[in-house]
Amino acid sequence: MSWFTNLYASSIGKKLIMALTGLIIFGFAVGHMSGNLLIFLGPDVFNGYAAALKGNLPLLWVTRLTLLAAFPLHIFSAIQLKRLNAAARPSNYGEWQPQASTRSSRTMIYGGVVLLFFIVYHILHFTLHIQQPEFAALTYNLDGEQVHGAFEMVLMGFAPTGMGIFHVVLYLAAMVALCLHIYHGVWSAMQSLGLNHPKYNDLRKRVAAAFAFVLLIGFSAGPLLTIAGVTKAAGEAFTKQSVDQVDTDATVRR
Amino acid sequence: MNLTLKVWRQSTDSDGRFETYEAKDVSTDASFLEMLDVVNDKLEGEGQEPIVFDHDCREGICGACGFLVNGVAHGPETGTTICQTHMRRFSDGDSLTIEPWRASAFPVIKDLMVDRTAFDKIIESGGYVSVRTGAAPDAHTMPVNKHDADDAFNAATCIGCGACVAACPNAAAMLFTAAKVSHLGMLPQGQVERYERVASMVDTMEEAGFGACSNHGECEAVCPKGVSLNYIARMNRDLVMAKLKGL
Repeated sequence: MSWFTNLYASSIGKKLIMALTGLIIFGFAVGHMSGNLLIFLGPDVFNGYAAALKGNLPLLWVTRLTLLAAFPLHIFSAIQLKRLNAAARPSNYGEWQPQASTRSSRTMIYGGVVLLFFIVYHILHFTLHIQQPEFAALTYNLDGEQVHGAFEMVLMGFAPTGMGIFHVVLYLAAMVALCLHIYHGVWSAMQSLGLNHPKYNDLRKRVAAAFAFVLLIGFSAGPLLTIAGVTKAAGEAFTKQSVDQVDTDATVRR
Repeated sequence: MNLTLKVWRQSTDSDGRFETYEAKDVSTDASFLEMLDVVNDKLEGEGQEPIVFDHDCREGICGACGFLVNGVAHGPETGTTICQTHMRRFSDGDSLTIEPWRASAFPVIKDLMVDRTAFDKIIESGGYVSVRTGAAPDAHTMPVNKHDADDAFNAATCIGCGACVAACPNAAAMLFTAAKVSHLGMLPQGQVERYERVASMVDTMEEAGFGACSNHGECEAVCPKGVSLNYIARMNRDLVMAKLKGL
């Protein structure tokens, strides 16, 4: 491992860790967003998905432990790099005009801090149920099996009440921060890892922009459509459809 | 044309400050440095200290000149050093802010002149090949494919002016170091020391107090020679290989 500590001693090594841990967290975010979208298929699908995730202990804990390692490493290298960079440019210019950097690239550290606070709040809210303790007691009857009422929890979290509106605004603001962080982050990670090829170089920024946009839309759809009542309506439509399906099956059998 | 210049004045031991000068009847055919020469003539005539700035060839190929004009390293002309920027690029009545490179690794010597010894140290630590090169070899004795030859040449166009460090929000010397690492590392003569070179040059770069790369791309945008960010990605790969080899 001495080669690794040796590499980490250089700023390029630290950037490498930033890139790798960033991509791990990014990969998780893509999976998380895809899972979230299942909420529009009704409580059966969403609660079933939530119960399956919680029930798959190896998957759950490998993911959690990976993230628990990735986040501190990402934050720790970010702080080290920030200190190094601040020392390299002790006095600012009287006038400085950016030529190539973006709002996204210049706000990485601030966006990162915003996201850190958001993620802590988000876990207290929907995972540990500390923010709204009534979430813990929600249950749902999934084909005779009692599972956690994750669907109902989201409806309550983003209900059209004062608290719900606060959450929608908070979550949307955090997703804008995420979008900006991902846009520079994904491209920057490819550059730090040395992933470049004349044929695909132009594509890298477009891929990063596409992912940033998809994550923004995908994550924002949940809170926005829930407070607008769409999630509930979609859920009822799907539930009714499956009940109708059961009725039809029963009729056919009769 | 008449201009108002806000120029950074600083001697080694003091804190600097901006001083305002009027540049009257500037010829649009003058280069930026010639314009400063005229201003300096006037200052000397009035018994004031002339504005100190670094310069040598004034042809855009030596890398000696460089400062920021209105917040952009080497001024508004892309792919051009400040000595090759002409006053026709500006308009009558413009107000120009002129500032030296700012980096802890580039201490100000006086006014707009900074000490770029740190770059020389990076070169000393690996910017060479230890093979007997003799006279220029015949073109066919050592085949180099066209792509590598062009790529190495583009890296070698770096004139070491320091604009990349100046423009980088982190005052990083990644583009300079990457260009120097790459132009030798992509040619057959440079293969022997390829990994020692990258490890040693990166170490020296960091000891000199330059910052880290945040992939902003500011360096590439102001580089008078258009050296590409891709060389930084290439250097990163070579450094990982070097560290895996225990260097």
